[in-house]
Amino acid sequence: MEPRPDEELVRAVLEGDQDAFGDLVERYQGRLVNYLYRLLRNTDEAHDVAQEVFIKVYQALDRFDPRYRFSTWLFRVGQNAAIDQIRKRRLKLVSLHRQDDGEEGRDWELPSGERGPYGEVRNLERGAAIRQAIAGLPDEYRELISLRHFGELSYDEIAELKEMPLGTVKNKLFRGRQMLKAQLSGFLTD
Amino acid sequence: MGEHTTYLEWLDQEADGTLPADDAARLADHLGECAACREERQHLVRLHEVLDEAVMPPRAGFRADVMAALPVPPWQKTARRWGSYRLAAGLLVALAGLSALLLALAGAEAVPGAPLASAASALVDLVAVSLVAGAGLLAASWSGVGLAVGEIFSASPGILVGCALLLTFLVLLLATMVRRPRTAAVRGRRDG
Repeated sequence: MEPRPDEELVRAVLEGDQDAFGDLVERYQGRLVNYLYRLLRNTDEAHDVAQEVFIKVYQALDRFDPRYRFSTWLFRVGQNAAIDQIRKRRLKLVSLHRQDDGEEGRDWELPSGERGPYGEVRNLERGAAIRQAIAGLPDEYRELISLRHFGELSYDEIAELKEMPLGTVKNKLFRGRQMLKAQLSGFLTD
Repeated sequence: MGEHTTYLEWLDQEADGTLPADDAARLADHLGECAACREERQHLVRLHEVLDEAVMPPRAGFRADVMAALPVPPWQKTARRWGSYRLAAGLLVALAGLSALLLALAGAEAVPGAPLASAASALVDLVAVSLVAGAGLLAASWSGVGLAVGEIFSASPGILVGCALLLTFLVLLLATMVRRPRTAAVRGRRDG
């Protein structure tokens, strides 16, 4: 059966079918949490902010403009919420006079593709390398790479969300991936 | 060099599944004769695999947490409020119609043959009884309540029924206006 389009689910929610919102949450939860994790670099915060984003979107659902895509709206709210969260975190850190940048917090462990102690170590190394490589990208590239690979947005959706020409999106993604490729070269040859 | 950069961009788009078919055909031709691009292609494909492997599932029960934490949205409250007003307005109209009917019946008993005069007389009676009853209830004194009850019971059966219906409707009206919306669920917490 064809999945119901987002806009149809939104209409159903506004007509009182709350389960339709559950379908939207199901559809976007993984993508939004992964995207937020790449911005916030903390699993618990990513989940908490994602939950807040879904609630915000639900409360404002009657203001959703069907001329735009639900996905871009959701990720825009997510992006703003992540920025707010980073701002709050900085204020908290300044008030505590701490030197670190708040990246403590539980890391997300990669699902183990390899068995045995060697495989586990390899997975941990790979997970850390990916995190570092993505975190080390300049902001504008990290944002687009996260939207594409973790938010799973199309180039058109990213262009709409970031209000950039499509060509710029393609170019930045290309450059971002070239940087990642250089950073992760040790994991790309085996 | 410029042409090679184009192939690199195409390789990147191909690995991402976004390269148009006609460009893909030209890229395939180029790959047949360029070992460096074939190697680059392998690296890009592997990069996409590594990034795909880095995608994590959300924590178990996340959807249920979100659904449990959803408050009543403002747009639903607005719809409910209009629903309440419609119900209240309907009750008021019904009340007015019923009152008119009762007044007409009571008036016909009081002054046969003069419906307007009798209706006016019944209306004056009803207002007087209501005022006395209201004053008695507001004073909240036993004498006030006694006076109100006495006045009500000394009135004609039509007035009595009218007062009872009036009170019932007012209570219903009040109930529909002050009924509280469903309170927001407590925000779900992470489970692990």
